[in-house]
Amino acid sequence: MENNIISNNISDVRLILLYKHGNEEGFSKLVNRHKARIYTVIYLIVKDKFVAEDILQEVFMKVVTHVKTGKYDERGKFLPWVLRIAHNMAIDHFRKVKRRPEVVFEDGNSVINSLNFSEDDAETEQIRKDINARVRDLIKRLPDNQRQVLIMRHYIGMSFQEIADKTGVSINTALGRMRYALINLRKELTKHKIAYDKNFYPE
Amino acid sequence: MIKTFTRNEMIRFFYNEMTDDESTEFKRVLNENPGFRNEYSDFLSNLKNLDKIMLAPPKRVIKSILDFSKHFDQSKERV
Repeated sequence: MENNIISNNISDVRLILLYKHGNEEGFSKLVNRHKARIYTVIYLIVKDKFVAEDILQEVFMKVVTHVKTGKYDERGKFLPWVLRIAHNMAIDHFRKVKRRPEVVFEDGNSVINSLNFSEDDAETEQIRKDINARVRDLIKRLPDNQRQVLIMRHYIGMSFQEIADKTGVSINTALGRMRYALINLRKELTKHKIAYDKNFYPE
Repeated sequence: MIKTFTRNEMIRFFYNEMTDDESTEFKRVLNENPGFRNEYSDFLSNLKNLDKIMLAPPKRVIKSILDFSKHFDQSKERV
């Protein structure tokens, strides 16, 4: 079995196979490859950094348990499977929180600015962080049904048919919500004059 | 009349949810209609924002996940 040196190009399927055979490095690769997308999906739903961290851990604990006890279904794709677990756990949490009286945290705003990013650098990195935090904040403030479709389609990769089935609406309604989410996002970005400088984001 | 597409159709094209015929027609119009091409390009730049906001969780969280895996006791799960 392969040891510590695993190529970056290795597929998720192969990594899962290695992990099933006891190779922890395979699992580490999977986690590091997909952690940002999974964490972002959770964060955009629960809107709280610390809750998102807890849910991310719960998601991967479930992954570990499934794989190590032979319950993982190899016919499916790893990332969509994990993203759906993450989505469901985040929604469950979100529902529980919504049932409770609203609690306003004193440092609510600072959370957005204190998040960690995949890459660290100096001044340009700070500008990028500020813009990205703003966009993230705009997504968080979208109407629930629009944010839900945007997360399901763009970050989780569900088709509009799957979203329609899951949310109990027609495909056209799901598409319309996505369209409005993008329109609202665009409107807010323009209103706040937020633009991505091509020096930071080359095409 | 110059053929064009709606925002919903742009979304379906972007996410690869059109039929082959629809997709071929979309690409044809994209090639032949500069106005529509600009509109689609504008639409794309908005969508690209969504990919730039990924967050990385703190290292301690990842360490905790990897530790959980390393010390996972399979026997306790098989009840």
